Amino acid sequence: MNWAVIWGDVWRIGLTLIALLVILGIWALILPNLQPFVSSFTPSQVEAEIERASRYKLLHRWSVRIDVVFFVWLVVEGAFLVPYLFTHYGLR
Amino acid sequence: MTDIANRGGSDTQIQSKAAALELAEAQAMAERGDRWFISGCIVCGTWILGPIGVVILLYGMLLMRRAQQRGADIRSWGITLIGGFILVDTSVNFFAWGMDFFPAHDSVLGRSLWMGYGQLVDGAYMYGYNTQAMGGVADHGEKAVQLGMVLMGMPIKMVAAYGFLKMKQWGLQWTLISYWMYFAFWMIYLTNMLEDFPLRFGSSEFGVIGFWLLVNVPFLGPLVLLPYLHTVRRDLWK
Repeated sequence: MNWAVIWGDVWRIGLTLIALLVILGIWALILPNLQPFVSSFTPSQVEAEIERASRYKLLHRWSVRIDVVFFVWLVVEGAFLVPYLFTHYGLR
Repeated sequence: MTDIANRGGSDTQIQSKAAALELAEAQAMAERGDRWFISGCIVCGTWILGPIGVVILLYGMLLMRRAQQRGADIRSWGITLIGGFILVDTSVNFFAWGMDFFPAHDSVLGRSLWMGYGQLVDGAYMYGYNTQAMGGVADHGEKAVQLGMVLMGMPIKMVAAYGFLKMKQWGLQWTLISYWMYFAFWMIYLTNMLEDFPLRFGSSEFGVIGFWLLVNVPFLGPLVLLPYLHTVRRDLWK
């Protein structure tokens, strides 16, 4: 691998990252200022929210458990996939 | 007598000041931990820096745990874990598809990663790579999904997940919207794969099993998280 290839990779990946950051920045400016439903909760509405959420405790517990499995799955996969791809299939 | 009473009063004042200082330090530590956690989740999804991201993420969680033990008020761990998963999942898709969508597809690193992934799981990334006008994957359906995901779906989901973790009302609402979008994208994605099945899965090393193991399990996120997001206490997000 020579310097021209390394430089080629640097600017292409750099440009890609800048483009992605710009897209992210645009949405980061838009979303907080474009809230679909602005609402403030009165004390009685807060009570109603607590009452409603308490009916779904089991659902919440299992959602978090499955989410943890997905989370660990993705993190472990992310850590092993790239080294595996490079060592198994090499550079092109 | 007055002296003793005054000394007692100043001792209490000193103690309460020390307690307030301790609490402020713990709160600052929790916020620092949160920043590390969020950064770790994003870095985890960059593929190449994945192993470093794991360390950053765990360090952030450790800081938050220590801060909580010292009395800091932090959001519930359930919300942290759900927001963290959304961030990692989004980051993986945003950076990976972004690498294929933008000029990185011509780099040795980008090309090697994607063509390797094509050999491993999804053959569309192996045949005719970088031969079409937009570069990267040659499959038209996959390119269309990339366009929607990189320019719209994923950045919205990532910013929303940040707002969700920061307990902002707009964060919860946009997380819900972006998850429904994600669900729709997923259906389009699966239809593309079904239509091009022989090319995409008949030709790769691990085919459908590999796709389920590497890609599709996290894509089930909406099925698990949409009911949660619709039934959670909305007043917690200010």
